[in-house]
Amino acid sequence: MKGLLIKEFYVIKKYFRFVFIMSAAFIAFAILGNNLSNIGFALTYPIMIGSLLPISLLSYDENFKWNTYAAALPVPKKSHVTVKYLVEIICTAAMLALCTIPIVIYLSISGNSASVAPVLIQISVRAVAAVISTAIFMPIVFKFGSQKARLMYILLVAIIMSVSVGLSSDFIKTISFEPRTAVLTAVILTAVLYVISWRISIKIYEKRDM
Amino acid sequence: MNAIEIKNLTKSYGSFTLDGLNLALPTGCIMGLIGENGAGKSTTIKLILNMIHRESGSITVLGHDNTSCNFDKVKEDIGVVLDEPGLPPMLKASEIDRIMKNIYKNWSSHDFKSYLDKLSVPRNKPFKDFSRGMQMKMGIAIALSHGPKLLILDEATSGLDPVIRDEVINLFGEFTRDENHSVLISSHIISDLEKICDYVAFLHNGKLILCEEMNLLYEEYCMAMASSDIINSLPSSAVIGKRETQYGTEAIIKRGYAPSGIKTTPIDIEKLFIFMSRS
Repeated sequence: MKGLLIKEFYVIKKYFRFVFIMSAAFIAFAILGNNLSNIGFALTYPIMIGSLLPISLLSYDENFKWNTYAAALPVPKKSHVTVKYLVEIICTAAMLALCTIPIVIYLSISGNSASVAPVLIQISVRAVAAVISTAIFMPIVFKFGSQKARLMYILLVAIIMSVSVGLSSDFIKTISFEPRTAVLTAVILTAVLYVISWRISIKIYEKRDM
Repeated sequence: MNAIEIKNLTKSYGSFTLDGLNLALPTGCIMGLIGENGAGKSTTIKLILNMIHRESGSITVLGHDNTSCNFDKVKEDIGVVLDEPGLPPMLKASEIDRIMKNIYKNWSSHDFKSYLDKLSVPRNKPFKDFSRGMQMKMGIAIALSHGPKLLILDEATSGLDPVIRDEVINLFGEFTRDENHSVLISSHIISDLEKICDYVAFLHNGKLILCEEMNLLYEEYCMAMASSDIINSLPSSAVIGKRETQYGTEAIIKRGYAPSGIKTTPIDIEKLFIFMSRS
């Protein structure tokens, strides 16, 4: 599986470098513009794009005909699926770090430490929403291919992210400083959903003809 | 033990059916798989590699059922070149080397670089800038660089110029100097197959119409040119196929039935396939 991961990162390095640059730019503009009210949007773009990466990678695999070639390699089909889920986790974590670290540092330095917790909640809610979107859609992409799944995916991500934005605003207004239980529960449920999605995708992919 | 053994293999796609295929590639031999476009050559190769699911029949590769859970380990010993290369277009040779080193346990970077040099494949160009022939050469270099025991090649020489094709065919011939090494190669370029194959299998419309040792084919059949009366007088079982030309009737017949006095020449495998398909 290490070889497959290396291949994914070569593709990301070639085709998705701009995503990370754009995301850093979004965060930088929000911070430098001293416009914390726009932090929500600045967070949404990188996390959403990070979660879309595995689906874009599947699309590139179809264009390259890599899936057919890779089926002849000594790698179980399960690994082809697992590597996409791993990439999702790694890229979402990278985007989270890209968003969280500079914002937390900025808020701490600028004397807005009280805003750190609400911002972390926003980030957590968006990350959970992004991972849930991917968990729902990855099996569909493995089943039907990226072209058919893509439009449905973008619509679903938009709905889920909109709900998460509204939800996170309500969280900030109505809950006290430490909503750890709610966020922790959401994270655990998301992890369970992610594992279920992974298992379903494996079953689908193992039945597919290459 | 046969390197590949196929029994009663069936696979249907709408109007096409690969129908009850029986085929065996003895270890240490090279078998050429010949067929017209859509005959089922690529389907057969994908079924052997378990890339697609069969409807019935059995396939063993290097002694293992190809649907068993350890078949992925058996693929360590199989070098594959498909008709479409399938590598991401931005990759250069060093990146392909790094990927394959972490996929194949017996991958040899030294052998890979050596084959790249032998086949004149550029090391610093991205894959997307390769010509079709160069892409196939890269695929061949990859297939040979992890110590395989079996090569499965689907149109591996297509797009190659005659000089490189000759070198590649010689490479495959050298590969089988080890008596444990075997090759299954499908190709339209029958002259390439005639140079190195021990066995030849003809696929036509999903059916195997011939599978025989090359030497036995040359012994059993011959080309004859005679008048249509003479050819028509032969038993129908002796005449594989015939064609009227301006000089007479050209036919492939069994040697034992060749009438005395008519000129016979060694068969042309390509013509044998064409005549058998038409009949």
